[in-house]
Amino acid sequence: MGPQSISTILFSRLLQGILVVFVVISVVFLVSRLARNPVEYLTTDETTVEEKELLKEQLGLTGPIGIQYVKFLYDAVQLDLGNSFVSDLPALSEVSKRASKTLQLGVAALLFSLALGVPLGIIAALNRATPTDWLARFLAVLGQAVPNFWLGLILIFFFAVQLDLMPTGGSGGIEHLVLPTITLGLLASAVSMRLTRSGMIDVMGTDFVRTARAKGLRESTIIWRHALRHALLPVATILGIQVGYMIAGTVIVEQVFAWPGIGRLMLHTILVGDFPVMIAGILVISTSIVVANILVDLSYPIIDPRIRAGSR
Amino acid sequence: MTEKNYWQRMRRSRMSRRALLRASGRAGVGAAGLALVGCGDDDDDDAAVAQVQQQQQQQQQAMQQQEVQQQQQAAPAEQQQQQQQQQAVAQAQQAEQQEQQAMQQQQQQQQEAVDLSREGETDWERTVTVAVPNAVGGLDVQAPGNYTLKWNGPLHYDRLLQYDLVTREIVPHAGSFEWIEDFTALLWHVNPGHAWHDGTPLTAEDVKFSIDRAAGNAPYNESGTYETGIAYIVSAVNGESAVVDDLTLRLPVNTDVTAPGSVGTTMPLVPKHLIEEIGDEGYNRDGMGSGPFQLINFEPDIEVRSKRNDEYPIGYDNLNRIHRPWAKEIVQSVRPEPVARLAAIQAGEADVTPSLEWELVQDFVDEPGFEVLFDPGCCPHTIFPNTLVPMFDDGSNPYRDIRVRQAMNHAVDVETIYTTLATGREQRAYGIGTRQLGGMQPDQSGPLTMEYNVEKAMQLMDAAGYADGFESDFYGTAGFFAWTDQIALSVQQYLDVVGIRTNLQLDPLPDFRARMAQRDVPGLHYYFTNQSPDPFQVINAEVAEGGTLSVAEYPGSGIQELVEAQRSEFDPEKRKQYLNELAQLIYTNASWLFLFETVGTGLMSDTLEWDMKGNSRDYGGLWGIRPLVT
Repeated sequence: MGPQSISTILFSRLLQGILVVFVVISVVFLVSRLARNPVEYLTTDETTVEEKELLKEQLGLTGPIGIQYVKFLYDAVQLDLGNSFVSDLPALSEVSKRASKTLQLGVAALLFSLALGVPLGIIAALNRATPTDWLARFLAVLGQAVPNFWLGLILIFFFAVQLDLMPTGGSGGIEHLVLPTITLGLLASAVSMRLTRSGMIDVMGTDFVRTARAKGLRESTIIWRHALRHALLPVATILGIQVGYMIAGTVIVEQVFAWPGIGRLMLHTILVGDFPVMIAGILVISTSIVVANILVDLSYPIIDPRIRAGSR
Repeated sequence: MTEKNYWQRMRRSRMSRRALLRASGRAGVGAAGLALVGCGDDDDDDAAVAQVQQQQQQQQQAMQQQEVQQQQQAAPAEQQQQQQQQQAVAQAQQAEQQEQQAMQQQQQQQQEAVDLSREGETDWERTVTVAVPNAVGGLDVQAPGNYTLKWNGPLHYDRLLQYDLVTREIVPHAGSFEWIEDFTALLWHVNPGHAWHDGTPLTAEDVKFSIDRAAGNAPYNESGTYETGIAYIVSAVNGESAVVDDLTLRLPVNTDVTAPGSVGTTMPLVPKHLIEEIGDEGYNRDGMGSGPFQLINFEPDIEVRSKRNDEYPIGYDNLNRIHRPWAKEIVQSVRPEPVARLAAIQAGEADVTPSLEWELVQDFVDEPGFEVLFDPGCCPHTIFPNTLVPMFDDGSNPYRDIRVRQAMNHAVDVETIYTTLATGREQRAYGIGTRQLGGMQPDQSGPLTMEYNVEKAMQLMDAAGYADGFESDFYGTAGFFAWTDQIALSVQQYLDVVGIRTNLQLDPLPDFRARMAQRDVPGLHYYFTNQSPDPFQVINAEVAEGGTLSVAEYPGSGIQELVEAQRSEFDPEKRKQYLNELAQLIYTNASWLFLFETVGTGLMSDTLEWDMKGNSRDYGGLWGIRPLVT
């Protein structure tokens, strides 16, 4: 693939991504306006209807929804998503403060899932139909079946309350990251394990692996340098989707572990109808997923040289 | 420490005025007596008592003078001279005695203050960590959204008046008030010693600024572009306030007995000098108050760290009111998930969590090292039938018939609900709000006449012409209090037995309240009456005709007349009487379906001492946590 091709792909993906983000925030804008009334959260029992209307006007929630939408888009392209209805601080800054925390947790969980899932998948594939394989598959099913909400609480009680090895929640040092990472990454590691296992089983039966063995290559070289590359393609594909799942998972995990990320912020904003922060959060999340998928697309040629060759 | 509160203050003012007029009339010193009432400064507790004592003495003196004058007319000159000498000696002795009594009283107060602080038992250097569900928002307590934040407002900011946590009466805080000009204006006195956390004294200018800003009329904001969203709490203000001196502000108000409570207890005071310097946005980022704790670090949704305000002028002489904290620092550590808050306490990461469901803490009642916090008297669960709009096509609304409403109350076994779903320490709801409302003392509520009796309920339904029952919508909230969804389901089942077949819909609180506030949605609305010490808030919102959440109105029942009567009655005794009549009438009229008063629960390490006194829903009560020496 030449530089021309990369830039073409990149440009095309970026256009798609912008379209996706635009559609997502438009839908969120319209649905939230129709579904929630933040004024009720911001007022008390005594607030009169007139005062609520006044507040609604101050928050820019009056007038035809079409005009509100156009004004929103005009401001949004200038990255002005308004101020939080709750804190009265700029919505985008409220979200960006949290973004780094979610990024930390997400990257840690992704690395954890790969570090656990890929080797386990390889081991299971190489020991196909043995107790090791059964155990690995059992763990994978378990990882997929256990709700992360429940898992998080169990980990807290075991490692933090009983063993006193980890903090129960909050943020700060690396120790605060351990339990949320495991909770968030376990499901993804189960998926990675199963995909790696099936990929490896397929690849290990192919002609080029047989040829490599015939050439006298060491088994570890065959596995790590040749077979794994092929087996990882579906894992890489699924990674893009996993990013979305993980961000969705952060809503629960951040809540359980008091991790101050976007997920928890989003939950709160949805409950109280803090539209500006909600939309800013969705903007950041959808952009992250788009970027992750673009990176996955760009990683294919690196993982599998045939794709690079085929594009020439 | 002497008592002086919202209820008593008005009584004192009026009674002393009357008494003095009477006495002055007898003694011919009316002008002097009136002047005393007009000038009486009662802006601190001791002064108030002194004033009352002085007034009583003057009454006695006036009466004595009158007697003396009568005797003088009859007695010879020598006797008069002797009597005058004796009188002078007696007065001197009396003055000396009074002086000694005052000194003893002062010493006793000082002694009490020291005793109450229990210096030796208190760990003055300890940082207490409190696990709280959230800490988001900005620091401008007057801004919409921020105003209702529990982690900030009551802890770091003062108000003019406060509620006594036990008597539920409105008492002085950073200020006090007196009525002037025939109850058309309030004279606010700022209590000396209150200062902003940067050391600047809190003055009448700050109070004026706070009121003006709350109303959106601060001088720097003439265009009105900045709205705090709490204008309604100063809606009683009727004109321009005027600073009389550094510590006194004259505030014209509507002739409404609730004005002092409205302005005084609900409006947080903000510093004029700082907001003028850094602006509204700056203040929202770097807010500063004058409260018992000083904010030292705020990381949204992570932690709020505050230190004890050692200069706080209110000491430990009344533990039922806001006072200087014991804990050196308070860290509010955010743990949104209740089970995680429990784990934080178990793991020793937090010392206390004021809000934890009963089902999570009930196993800790006898657990060594922990203390379960019970916080009674909050927010009665109440179901409001909409009587304003027709329910059926023929224009009828069964809830307008008192027999149907009585049947509802007889149909539900409230005690079984709260003993099985809640802590079992709850009390049946009655009247306007909780039994701890100011003006409605526990012994003044009427008897509970609508006990669980299905047979009677069915007879009443039959008598009302609904032997076959009827269908009704039933709206409730999910998640505002614990178990509300289960309680709603239980009530639904109970009502079904007597023929009131309900379609239950549970929504988040904002959605529920928005619907209720429309006031035109027929059916049952399961909401709460609040625990505000003065019942004016709940009366205005849920009882008065046209109230923001009034869906159950009963014209001709006498309720509205009592609402009006208590609203404009400045004699506290008479107002109490009206309020009690109102509470009893609301109950005997079966205006609502009365369930029970909430008991909040929490969990605490036994190395702390904290009597929550109805403060579980208000983290401002953290000043009441006392770390014990272990």
